[in-house]
Amino acid sequence: MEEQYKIFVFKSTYLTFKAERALKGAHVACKVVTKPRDISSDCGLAIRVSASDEPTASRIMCDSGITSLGVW
Amino acid sequence: MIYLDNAATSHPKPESVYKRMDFVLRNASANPGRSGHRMAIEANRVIFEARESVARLFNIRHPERIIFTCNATAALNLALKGLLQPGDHCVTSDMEHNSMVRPLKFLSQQGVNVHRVQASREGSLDPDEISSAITCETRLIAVTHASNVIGAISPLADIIKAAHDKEVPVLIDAAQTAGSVTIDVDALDVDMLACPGHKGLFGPQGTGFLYVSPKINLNPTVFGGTGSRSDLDRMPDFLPDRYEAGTLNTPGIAGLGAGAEFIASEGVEAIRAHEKRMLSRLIEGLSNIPGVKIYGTKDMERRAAVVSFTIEGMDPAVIGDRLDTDFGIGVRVGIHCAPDAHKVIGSYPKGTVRMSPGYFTTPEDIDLAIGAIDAIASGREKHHYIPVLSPQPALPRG
Repeated sequence: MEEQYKIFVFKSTYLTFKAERALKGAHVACKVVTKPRDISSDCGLAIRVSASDEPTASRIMCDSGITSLGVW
Repeated sequence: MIYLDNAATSHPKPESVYKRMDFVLRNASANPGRSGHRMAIEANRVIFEARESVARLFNIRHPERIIFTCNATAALNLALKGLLQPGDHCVTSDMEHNSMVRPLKFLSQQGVNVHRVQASREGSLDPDEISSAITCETRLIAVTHASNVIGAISPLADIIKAAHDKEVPVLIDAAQTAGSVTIDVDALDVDMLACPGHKGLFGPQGTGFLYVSPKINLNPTVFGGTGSRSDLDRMPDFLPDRYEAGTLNTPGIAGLGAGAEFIASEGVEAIRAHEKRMLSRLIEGLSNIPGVKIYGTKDMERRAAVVSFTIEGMDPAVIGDRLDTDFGIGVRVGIHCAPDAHKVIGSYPKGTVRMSPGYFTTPEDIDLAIGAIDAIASGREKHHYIPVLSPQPALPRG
């Protein structure tokens, strides 16, 4: 079965990499990717995690004070 | 050569700075924040890590409020031009570098009222005088942490407190102290801090930053692409993007980050202690040479690693040339882009000879410099002191 992903989008590139560091520090697999065009016309970056890791990732970011603009 | 011009640019750099820059330039110098391929993402990560390293060094709680610039001058321009409007009042001092003097002069021609408080003969600023100069229209106190001419360190905590007591923010020019004097942004409640990357922070030229506290809202002064909110025809409203238009100096910022990490590993206090030892040795040695006049305080606690002096009856430019040509010693002479400071200490217009040791300066370097000045002051020849001078290496080409 094809793996399902979730995309976290942030206000700034700085926050994207802050989130990446927090997730990697908590051993949550993630990848910095280009924001999908159907999420944003912006040419920025986003964080992709496995769909099954979304709740954990959300909690880690919340604990780290990192606010995302949303998850897709 | 013996390099005693660290107040202009530090040299040499820690080995880790050379290595980091070489690695990044070869492997991660795509455009940060613009593309999504692996090298661009790595370039972004390099910028992120450098920002975090600088934040840790200065105890900055909001790293995203560190704006990378091409030098301290650009940082000061952003702070001053981004904040001050016609009709505003700004308090500064007569110990400032032209990086502060010139943008303020420009702004005064646009209607900003600039008031300069006088420093003591030893170059220090009095917080009470700064407080007295504040009016109901004062929008900013903009002062140097330490004079680039005589190294006088001003009481930063007292100046900030005096300003904050009257609800006025402070812009600090830390060109001569960043990396070698502890600056705790959070504890001091610093509003804005402008730093060069290429001096005490051991980064390369073309780097610097401005820290802007959450209490300060600046207008951008440079406009362009940021890689974020590209759908807008105006600058984003979030930091650092709001003030970082155009492609960043990724390899340079990588070097700045490595420099900040080196300082953190050595300890700012250890660096400061070494520089004070070199300063004491230099000042003591120069003080014993007839005809040499040293400017500024002899209290090492209140002095950054800068020594300005003259030799009676000799042009500083001639002394500088002889130091370079006959002794292989690099110094800076003249008025050091700070004419008003030289007026304060009485060395205008000829200026002084400035020796500025750094963390890599050795006691032997200092002793050779003292010997060289002794020879120049007494009219002796060079061969008594330095037997062989190595040539400046040629730039590799092709």
